[in-house]
Amino acid sequence: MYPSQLLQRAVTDYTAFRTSLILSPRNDTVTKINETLIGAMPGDVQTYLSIDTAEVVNEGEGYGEMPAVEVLNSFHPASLPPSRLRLKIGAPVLLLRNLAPQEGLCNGTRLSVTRLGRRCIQARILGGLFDGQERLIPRIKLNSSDDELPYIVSRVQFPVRLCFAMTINKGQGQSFDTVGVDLRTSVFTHGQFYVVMSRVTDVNRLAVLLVEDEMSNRVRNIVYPEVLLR
Amino acid sequence: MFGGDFAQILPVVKHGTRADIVSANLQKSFLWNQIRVLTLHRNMRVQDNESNRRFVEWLHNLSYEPRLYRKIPLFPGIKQF
Repeated sequence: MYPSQLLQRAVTDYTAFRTSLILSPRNDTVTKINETLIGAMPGDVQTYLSIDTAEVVNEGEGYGEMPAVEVLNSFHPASLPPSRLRLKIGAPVLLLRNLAPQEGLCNGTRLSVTRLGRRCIQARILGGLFDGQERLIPRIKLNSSDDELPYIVSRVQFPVRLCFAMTINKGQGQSFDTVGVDLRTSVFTHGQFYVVMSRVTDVNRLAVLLVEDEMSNRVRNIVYPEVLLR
Repeated sequence: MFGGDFAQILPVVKHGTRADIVSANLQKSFLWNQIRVLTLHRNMRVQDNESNRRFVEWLHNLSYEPRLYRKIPLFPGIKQF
């Protein structure tokens, strides 16, 4: 999907990732793709570790004690950035919180990393009204949603995750020039197949990855007709 | 004013069944029967050319053609790898 020249170019040219993206139904495959691609990108990895604490919400059986820091670090709920955030110059990232909506820093904004400081990272906004503008992103304290874990985890970390790839659900409502779709695992709910097929402006810029032994290259399309307006 | 498309992904219900997801959508709200629905008909995203015109039709049919609610072949213009 991303030729090595593109990964090379991205180090100095933020437009490399502005208009292309990989989409996949599930968070676990998206994470795997991102880890592979950060490894394949040229340049040095900078690893940022989070500071995690927890608050017990349900004073019930089994959850009385505070879990060890190592346990907290191992949690990867969708609402939090990774505890070990690995970045390189040029890597595309997704913002996970509204930091400054009036300046284009919203939950879901994509940026390309331009500088990896000790206390701040700098990145260029990809696409939209603020395309190409640089912003500084500080570490902030983020809380996990209360329904994901038996505790609320507070994580001090840069509020970003890699986004060479993202989930189909996150991609809903956006357009891209080039889209690679990883359907090695099928879509699992209403509308996902339609959404992922309809993100491009030209059918020739759409490519799909399927498992090899897929029966005559068919893909699952899930529709709940009872919600459609006729 | 609300904007949206019921052919797209519905609001997420964690660990929700089909019935849970369907009953969490706007049409089940007490507001729904006071809402007047206006419809857009033209796909503005896809560039206008011969192969894309058939692609747009296929995209529409994915949602509104019951014989496509299953495992289907990809649209012929889509690259596979």
